Amino acid sequence: MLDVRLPIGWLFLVLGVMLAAYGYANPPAESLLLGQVSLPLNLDVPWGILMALFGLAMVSLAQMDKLKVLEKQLQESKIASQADSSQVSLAETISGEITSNPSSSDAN
Amino acid sequence: MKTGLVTAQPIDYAVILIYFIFVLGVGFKLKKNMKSSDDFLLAGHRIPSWVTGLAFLSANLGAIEVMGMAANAAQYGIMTCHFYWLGAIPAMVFLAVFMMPFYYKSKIRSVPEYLRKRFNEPTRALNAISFAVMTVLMSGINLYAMAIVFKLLLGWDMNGSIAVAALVVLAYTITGGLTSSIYNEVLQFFLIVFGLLPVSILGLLRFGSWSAICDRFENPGFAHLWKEIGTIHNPMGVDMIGLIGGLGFVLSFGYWCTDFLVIQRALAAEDLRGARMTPIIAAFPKILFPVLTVLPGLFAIILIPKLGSNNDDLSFNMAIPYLLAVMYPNGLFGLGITALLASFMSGMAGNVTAFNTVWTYDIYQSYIAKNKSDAHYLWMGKLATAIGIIISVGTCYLCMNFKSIMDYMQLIFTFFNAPLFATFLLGMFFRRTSPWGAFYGLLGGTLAAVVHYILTLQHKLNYQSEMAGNFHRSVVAWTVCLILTITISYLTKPKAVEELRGLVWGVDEKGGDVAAKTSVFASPGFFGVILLALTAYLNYLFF
Repeated sequence: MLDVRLPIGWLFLVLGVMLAAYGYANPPAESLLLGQVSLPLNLDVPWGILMALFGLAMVSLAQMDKLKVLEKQLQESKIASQADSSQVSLAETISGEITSNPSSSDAN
Repeated sequence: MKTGLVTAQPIDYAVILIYFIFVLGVGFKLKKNMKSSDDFLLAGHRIPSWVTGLAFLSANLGAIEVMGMAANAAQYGIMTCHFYWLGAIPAMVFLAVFMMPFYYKSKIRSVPEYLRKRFNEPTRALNAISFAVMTVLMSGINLYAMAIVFKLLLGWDMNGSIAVAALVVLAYTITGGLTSSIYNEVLQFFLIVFGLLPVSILGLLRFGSWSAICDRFENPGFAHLWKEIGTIHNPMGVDMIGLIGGLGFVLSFGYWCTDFLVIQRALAAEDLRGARMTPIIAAFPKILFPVLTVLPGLFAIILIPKLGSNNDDLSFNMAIPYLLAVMYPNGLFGLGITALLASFMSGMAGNVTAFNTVWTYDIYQSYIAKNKSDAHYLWMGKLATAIGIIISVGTCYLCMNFKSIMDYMQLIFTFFNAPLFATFLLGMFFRRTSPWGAFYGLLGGTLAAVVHYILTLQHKLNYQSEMAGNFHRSVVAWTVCLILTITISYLTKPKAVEELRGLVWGVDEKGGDVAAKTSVFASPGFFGVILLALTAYLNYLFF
């Protein structure tokens, strides 16, 4: 099923980059309520960057989990194939023993 | 188009548009996972607990929470934090530690279903019908609040914005069901945090410190949680009984511990521990949420002195939208209104996804069409989703006739949730409670609330404020339900102990409790103690 961190991550990454770029291209707005405090840069820039970083972190976490699951599956399939091959070799040894010593089975 | 307070730029519309694309995308991506009614209505019990935890919190983060709490803060001051630190955290801890094991282990699909197992069919039917009515009434509030904000801020046509929001919610809930609703709630949680936090940061930069903010309050009581509670002459007009008994006990425990809208999120967790951790995970951000809602309300009342005048544009409810309009540059403004839009839509989706489950399982499958195929119930779930949304649009227009949506909502809670909490408390922790005792107790409690409301309307009962009336009404409804249930239980036959296994405290399930094996430091109880200690400290800090 879809990992919820992917849509969240991508949405914030896209919106963050958009805001930062828009803020960079536009001068800081005269904020009515801040009054005497003047802002050195458009607020969109730092907030956009923060959002993009958050989005990136979410996407990376989801990808890391995906890799972990793949790694686990790979390891499980390796163990399974090893078990298969050891079972095959055991079966070969047993069948070899039976063919080399047919009298033991005939005795029963 | 008529212009509103703000002239939105293309960047603001682009933010909204991109959000819509993602929301719909999530629904369509999840569509292929919706194979059974269980997948659609219950999210297949496979959601990680951090996701259900944030969804649990966000389901309660609709229009009323965000705008209503800021409005309350502007009206009553920091006492509004009682809705969080007194009215939410203790109840969430109680749910996680004591009640969730019964909900999750009894394998119920909905809260009314628990009532059927513990009591009888009539009790379930009473609760299912009242809950279905309540959810559609509530979900309309979200649409209404959204339409009014966008009309005032951007000059959008109310009918147009209601139609667009309802269609988007319909599209993503009908494709992805509860999972889609939960995913969008988590998305909305982060949007609210990123969309509203700059208001608090900018406000704190503007004033410098908490004491500088307190110095600016016209009413010094606005800076204290408890100092003026001894009398009713505090900003909220409530006394100790109303506050602690009404809000702190009945209303908060009634909402957080029995409302299926929030319980449903916890039941979607992958295991019992996940379900128990859901309210705990939600409670940590909940403690800090006043920073996003109450603090902006306090800024608003200082910075916008005309706030609260009868003029629609400057009603208390407009505190947050107004601050977004005057504080944010374009771009960030788009993000802020997208956060509000997301909160309205997910508030509505949460109600609709709880409604469709209760309708499909507790009413349709139980009384109308028994023993049909699962595909049939899946189809009915989808149909109920669509009908729920259509009714919500209808109730949205009904809300327009009410003066204050906040009082309207609290009023509905006193009718349904307050007596229900007494039923649950007795049902889960008092073995002797009989099925008919529960039924008549619940009915009597609801009727007591109605009678109390009528007496208040006729001015035979008078309270300092609407809210004080609601708090007292909830105590009355709860007490009547409690006394009636106990009395009738002793007069009627209780259920056999065998039938109560896994449903009642002290009547163990066969096979014992598996969850008891986990370490103390990883248990919900341990985190619960931390949460309660933090809450107590905050109460002391802002005493």
